[in-house]
Amino acid sequence: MTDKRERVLKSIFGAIEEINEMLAEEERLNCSEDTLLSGSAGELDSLGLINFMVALEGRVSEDFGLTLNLIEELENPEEPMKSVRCLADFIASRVDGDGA
Amino acid sequence: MSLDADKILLLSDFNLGGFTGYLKNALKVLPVQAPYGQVIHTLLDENSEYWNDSYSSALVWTRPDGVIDSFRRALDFHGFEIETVLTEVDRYAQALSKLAERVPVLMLPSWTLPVSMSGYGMLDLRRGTGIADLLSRMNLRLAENLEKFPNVYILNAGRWMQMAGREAFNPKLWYMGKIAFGNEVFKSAVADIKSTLAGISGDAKKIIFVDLDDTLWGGIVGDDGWKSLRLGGHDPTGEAFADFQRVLKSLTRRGIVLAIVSKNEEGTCWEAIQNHPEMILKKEDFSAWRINWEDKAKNIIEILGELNLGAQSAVFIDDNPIERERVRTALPEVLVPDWPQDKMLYATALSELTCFNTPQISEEDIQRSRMYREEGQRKDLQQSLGTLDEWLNTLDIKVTAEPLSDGNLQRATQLLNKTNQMNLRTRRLTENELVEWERGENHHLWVFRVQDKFGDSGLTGMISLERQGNVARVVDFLLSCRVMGRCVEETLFFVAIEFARSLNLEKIYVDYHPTEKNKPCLRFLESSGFESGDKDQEFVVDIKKPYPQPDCVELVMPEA
Repeated sequence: MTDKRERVLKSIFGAIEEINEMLAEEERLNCSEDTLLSGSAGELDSLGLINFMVALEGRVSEDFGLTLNLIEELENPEEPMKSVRCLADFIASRVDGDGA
Repeated sequence: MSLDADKILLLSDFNLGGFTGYLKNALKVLPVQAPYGQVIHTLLDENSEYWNDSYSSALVWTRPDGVIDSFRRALDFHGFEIETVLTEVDRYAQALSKLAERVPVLMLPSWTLPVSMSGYGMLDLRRGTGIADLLSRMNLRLAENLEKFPNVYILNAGRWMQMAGREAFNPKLWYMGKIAFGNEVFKSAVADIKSTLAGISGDAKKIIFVDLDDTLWGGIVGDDGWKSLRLGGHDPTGEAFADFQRVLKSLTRRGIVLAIVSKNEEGTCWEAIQNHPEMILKKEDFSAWRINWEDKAKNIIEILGELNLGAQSAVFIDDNPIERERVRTALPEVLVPDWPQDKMLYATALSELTCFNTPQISEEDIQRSRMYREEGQRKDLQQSLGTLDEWLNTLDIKVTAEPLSDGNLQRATQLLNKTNQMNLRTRRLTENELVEWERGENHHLWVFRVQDKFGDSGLTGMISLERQGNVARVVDFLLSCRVMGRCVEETLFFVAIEFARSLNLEKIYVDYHPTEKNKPCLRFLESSGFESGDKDQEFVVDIKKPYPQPDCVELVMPEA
């Protein structure tokens, strides 16, 4: 795993922890690459997903200086929002170089 | 209606988003959320499904432009007449008043402007032109309309916005989810709601335990000497400590009691407190202290016992994380806030604590610190005297019984809702509910003021009876912990028993309802000489048996 991807995962897990504060204990997401986010098997409801996307966009902007508009990616046929793993791959591909 | 029902009704004209989740996690209540955007419809619809349930409280959070149409137009820089806008506010308040009559507690976050809204700039606070001016008037008008409902609390949402800063509004949350505020605002709101409900339930904090070295002043007094302490003067750190003391002192004016627990030599510390020219807090500001080398948790327990306060009413402030952890572990009910390492943040950290908020501030609250100081003097006297009876006889205790009246209703309700320890049934009622109960057939209620040679403790007791044929049942028996153990308990029963005797009743039944906190009441009943009843924890007073008025108490009864 590259350093860049690890840093992206850290941002995603930070956003998950932020969202978990507003979820009941049994609804909280695992900080794991296997966690499913959107789609029929996604663990977040629509409001949770909105909060997650906003939290993550803020973190990615702060950590990598990258502006994302994740709501548009919900329509992306490659489904980058499907799981934490897909999302980490997607964001890592958008971040320029390891030093970003 | 009981305050311990478990549902809170949420009405809003926007999507509350993460707020509901934060609320559910912070409070043991189930939020019931009406669909957003239907506030006025829900308030006015007598047949709404939401009225089929009962709620311990309700929260109505609206944006001013969401419910006041003329204000929405004003935001778009249409001209406006102040009176037209305020008339619309009156109508909205009228709709809210219906909800105020349905729920025990109604909370309304005040109206705020979007943080990005600059309005008319330098004219924005000009009467008749400015949007900010108009909104201030609307908030005031709303508050004036609702001030006749003591169960309505308008929460200062402006503070939540200030604390959140630019995070107060997130356009993405708004456009994607119609969520009007950022999550930092919601977190502050939940903290305030939690402290509001805690205050109403009688769980507001009443006492602060403070350490001395590097907490109340900079430096180690035992090592450095009082002349070298950093406090006040032309020194930023010294000024920060002085400000922290100022905030503590201001809390004593709201009735919060101060106590010292410090590992130090007592004489050295008092020398510093008395002699340092910049010392804001004086010896008389502290109601109790343990300045010794013993375990702080043990010292706190001793002081709480001395002042008849529970651990749940205490806050402990200490710069030393080890001491904080010790108290947090030994006394989990004591609030031990994480304390900033930076001394310059002490005053802010203290000001940000919302745990002292109470639903009313009565004269008794303001005088509480003085009363506890007097209680300390009484204890001193107790230690210097022989038996308890001898001590009680020296106190010149006077107990005055009164019927419930407009003049004492607020304090009587506060007492009913705040008293935990000497409380037979821990019944919680609003002012209206108490009046309604007292007016009921065969219901009798007295409240009691207590004073002694050290001072006036104010209205601190209540007993009420319900007659049932030739017997009566005690409905409320409660006494503030400030006056416990001075034969006032017996005096309250004496009044009730004499009344029953005058009506030729045969017995009074006393049903003890246990809670986590009212063991002192059970101990009193067990030692009262009353017979045990048929039911568990039921006591029976035989009216034929003598029950004398305590010798040490002068009783003043209301004129017939």
